[in-house]
Amino acid sequence: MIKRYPRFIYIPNRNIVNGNMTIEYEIENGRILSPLPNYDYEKINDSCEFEKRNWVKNIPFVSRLSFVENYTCEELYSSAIEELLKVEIPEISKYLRVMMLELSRIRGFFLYIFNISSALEFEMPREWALSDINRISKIISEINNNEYFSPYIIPGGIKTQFSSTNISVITEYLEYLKKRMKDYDKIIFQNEIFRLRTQNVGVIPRQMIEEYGVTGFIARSANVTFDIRKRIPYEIYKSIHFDSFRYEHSDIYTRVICRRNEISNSIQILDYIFSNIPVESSTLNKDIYQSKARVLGEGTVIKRIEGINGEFILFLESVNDEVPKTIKFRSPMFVIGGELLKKLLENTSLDDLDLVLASLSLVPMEMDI
Amino acid sequence: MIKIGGLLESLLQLKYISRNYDSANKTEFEIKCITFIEVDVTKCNLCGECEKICVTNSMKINNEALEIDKSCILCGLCILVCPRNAIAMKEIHKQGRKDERFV
Repeated sequence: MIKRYPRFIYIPNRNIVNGNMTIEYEIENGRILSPLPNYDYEKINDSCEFEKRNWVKNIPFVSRLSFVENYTCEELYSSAIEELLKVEIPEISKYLRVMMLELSRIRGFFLYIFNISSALEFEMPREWALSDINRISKIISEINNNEYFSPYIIPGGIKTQFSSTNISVITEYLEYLKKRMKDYDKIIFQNEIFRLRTQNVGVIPRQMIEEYGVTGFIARSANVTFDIRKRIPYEIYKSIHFDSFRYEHSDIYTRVICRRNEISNSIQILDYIFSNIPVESSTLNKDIYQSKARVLGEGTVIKRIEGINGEFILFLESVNDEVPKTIKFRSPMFVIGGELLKKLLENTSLDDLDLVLASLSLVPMEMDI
Repeated sequence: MIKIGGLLESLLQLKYISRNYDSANKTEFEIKCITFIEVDVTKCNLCGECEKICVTNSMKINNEALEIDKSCILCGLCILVCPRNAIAMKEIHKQGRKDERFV
C-alpha cells in the first residue's frame, strides 16, 4: 500500500486574495482519506475592517466581499442601514433590487454549469456556459453604469437611474434564456452520461443537512423546503408567487437539476417585476447621505437573505455613531466549506473530487468575511 | 469514389476558416465606453464633503479647485454626499449613441 499526501489547489491567485484554498488528503486504493480543507489566504485590501470607517465609506468595500454574491452583500448591508436610520426607500427601487438579485442568481447558475461541465470534461456546455456568463455580465454591467463590481444596491435605494431601454434589453434576454434552457436540457440535463456520472455520487443525507444547518439549493435538493424568500420575505417577495419543487435525496444530479428548475423561478419573478414595476422618477432617497443625517440609531440588526448558494446573514450593531460598532457577515460557505466538505470528501473516489467540489458551488473567499 | 462537389466545398470551408482565423488575430481590443466623474464648476462651492468621503483619496482641493486623481474607482460616493449636486458620472460612447448594445 502506497500513501501519498497530495495537495489540491482550488482557486488561482486573484487581485483581492493572497494565496489559495487547498485540500490536503491521503489516498488509499484510489479513495480519499482524512481530507483537510485549508483556507490559508488573507485579504490584501483591508476590506473586512468595517468598524474603522463610517457606513458611507463602507459601501464600495461591501460589493467587493464576494465576486459571486456581491449584490446579495449589498442588499444585506443596505437593508440593515435603512433599518437603523429608520428611512423608507422608493417603491421602484424595491423592484429593481429584486431584479438585480435574480439576474445575479442566473449568472451564478451559469457559473455553476461551467464548473460542473469542466469537472465532467463536457466541452460544449462549458463553452456555452462561458458565453452565457459573458452575456449576462454585460447586461448587468450595462444596467450598472458599465461597471460590474461598482455598488448598485446602496442604502436609500438604487445608485443608477433605470431607463426603458434596460427593460427591453432584459425582456429580450429572458426570451433568449427560455429557448437556451431547452438547449441545455438536451445537451446536459437529459444526457445519459451526465446522469450515470452524477447519480448517487456525493450524497448528503437529510439528517446531515439538519445537523450542520445547510441552506440553499443543497438543502432544497434534499427535500428540506427552506427558502428565505418564502419564509421571511423581504423587499417585494411577499407579493410574488413562484413554484417550489420536491426532490428525494441530495446527490450531485439532484443538486444540478434543482438549480436548473430554480432558473424558471427567476424567470417567473422577473416577468412579474416587468409587468408590475411602478413609474417613479427617483430611485434613491439621497437625504440620508447629508452629513447631519448620517448618524445611525442605537441597536442591533440581524438580516437574512436567500443568496445564490444559501442563506446570507448580517449582524450589525451601532451606538449612536456614523461608524458601526460591529459588522459580521455569515455566508453559506461557512457551513459548506468547513465540516460538511470534510465529511463529504471522506472515502470519496479521487475521480469525483473536483465534481463534488463543483457541485457544492464553493466560493472560498466567502469562507471568513 | 471522391465526390468533387464535397471536396470543393470542404476546401472552400477551409479557406473560409483560415481567413476568419487571420482576421481574428488582427482584431485589437477596443474601448467602446469610458465612464468618468464630472464636476460642475458653477455649482461647486468647495465645501470638501467629497474629499472627506473619498475612499481612495483621489479627490483633493488644491488652489481653490477640485482635482480628481487617476486612482478613482468610480464608486460614486462623492456624487451621493455632494450637497449641491455638482458632481455627476458621465459616459462617452464611441459611436455617440447611448442606447447601443455591445452584446
